[in-house]
Amino acid sequence: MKQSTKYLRSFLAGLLAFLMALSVVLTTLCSVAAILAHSPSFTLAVVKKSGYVGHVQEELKEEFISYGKASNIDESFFTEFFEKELTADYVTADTEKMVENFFRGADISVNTDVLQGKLLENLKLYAEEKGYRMDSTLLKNLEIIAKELSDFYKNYLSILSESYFKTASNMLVRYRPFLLYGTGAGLFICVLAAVLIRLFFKEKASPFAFYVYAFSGASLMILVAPLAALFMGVADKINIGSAALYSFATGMMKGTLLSAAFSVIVPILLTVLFAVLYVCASKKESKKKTD
Amino acid sequence: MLNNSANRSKHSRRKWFILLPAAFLIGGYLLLFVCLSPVLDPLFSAYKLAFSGVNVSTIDDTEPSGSFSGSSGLTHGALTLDEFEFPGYGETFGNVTVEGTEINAPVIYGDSKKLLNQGACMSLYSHIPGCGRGTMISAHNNTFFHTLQYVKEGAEVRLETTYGVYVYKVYKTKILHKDDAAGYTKELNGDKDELILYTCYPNDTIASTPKRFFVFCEFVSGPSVSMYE
Repeated sequence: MKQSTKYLRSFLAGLLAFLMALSVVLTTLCSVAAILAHSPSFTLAVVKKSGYVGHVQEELKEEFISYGKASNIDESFFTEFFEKELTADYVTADTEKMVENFFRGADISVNTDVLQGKLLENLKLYAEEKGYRMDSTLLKNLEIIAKELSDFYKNYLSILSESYFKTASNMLVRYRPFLLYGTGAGLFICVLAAVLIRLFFKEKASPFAFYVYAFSGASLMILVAPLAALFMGVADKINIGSAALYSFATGMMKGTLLSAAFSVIVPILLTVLFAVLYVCASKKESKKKTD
Repeated sequence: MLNNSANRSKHSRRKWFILLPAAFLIGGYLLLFVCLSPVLDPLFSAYKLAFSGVNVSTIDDTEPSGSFSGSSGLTHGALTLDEFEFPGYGETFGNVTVEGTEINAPVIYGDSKKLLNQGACMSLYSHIPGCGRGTMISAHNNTFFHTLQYVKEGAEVRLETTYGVYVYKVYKTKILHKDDAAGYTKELNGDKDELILYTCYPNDTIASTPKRFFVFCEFVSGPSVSMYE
């Protein structure tokens, strides 16, 4: 074969290897996104790890106490209520239900009937202890307070029922299949490019070299952006004033970036595999040549 | 000779194992940049808006600073801006007592939820005592202003600040809806020194009340402050 033809062949194989690298990146990122989009467990893990529930409780308690001070209810009432009724487990259970419904595209509003009932019961006991006359006016006031506090709870917890999250939930359900299509398309292009590279060369070692270029290039492409974003602390700069929502949002972003970075493990393993195959094939061919 | 040629080919191959993946990395991101370039500006603007670092970690949610260390004792005269220090947000700059009630509360400049837990708070929509306009101070009805609704007309209200001592006399009380600003705007933005105290109403029951109990006090004595000349 002429030298110019060899160079042209290598150049074309290089282009195919680049296409292969891009398709590997597409496959990897789509499959990671598909796994995250199908599984509420990632979001729940973020909720637990980021301390979201603790922040929600603190903010709620502050809100309840402030409300209580304007309604003649002592701080001690709410301190006890949060210790006995509105515990971290209670908030976690409601959050889990909401997240699961979000992923199903179902109604994500929090049901506060039980909480409202408990608040009313405790308020009645509190009013009796304080010596207030339990007439119809007071009972009506207590019902209003229980309802308004339950609404506070609902609003605080319903981070995912903001209109933009509702839109995101609908989009997630509608476009989730496209992530699978993207994974399939990427895989198909990768295999096609690999087959074409193999057809370009008679010997086995050269295609393996191009596969190594492709997978190592893909590994770099997948790794650089998420690591750069993590290193620069992009997630920590998000403009959110609520501690609970901030911890949730930064946890989600960092978790997603880490997942993307860890997904590089597959292309790296493939790089190593084809590197080993290349070395073995090269040795075999050079042994054949010397023989 | 055959070996030298094979070695050269080996070295040439090895350098491509580094150069090509690096080239793919640069090429891949360049391609992404080219594909995104029509929407790069709006994307970047959106990023700057959403990720400018103004968040719960950086916002200074001010706690009340210090306690009231006492008044200068000045009960009359005139002060220029150079002669006194304007209170800072969250600063405990005074103390208020109301005759005939149990009110004896620190006065804080500013009125967030946190500050209202620590004392009586001066609204930023009002004016500091002595400047010839209305001063509005509020507190919770089950803490610092619990006995405000028992105040009588003619009662003396003493407001000590870091820069002077002010005395007022209660001349009327009103119960207004919390959104009824017309009920106090004239006194707040008028051209004479007045003190307006208010709290949630009533305080003898448990209720999420939309009503507020206002106490209007006319100026009796205290140093004037040249704020608006």
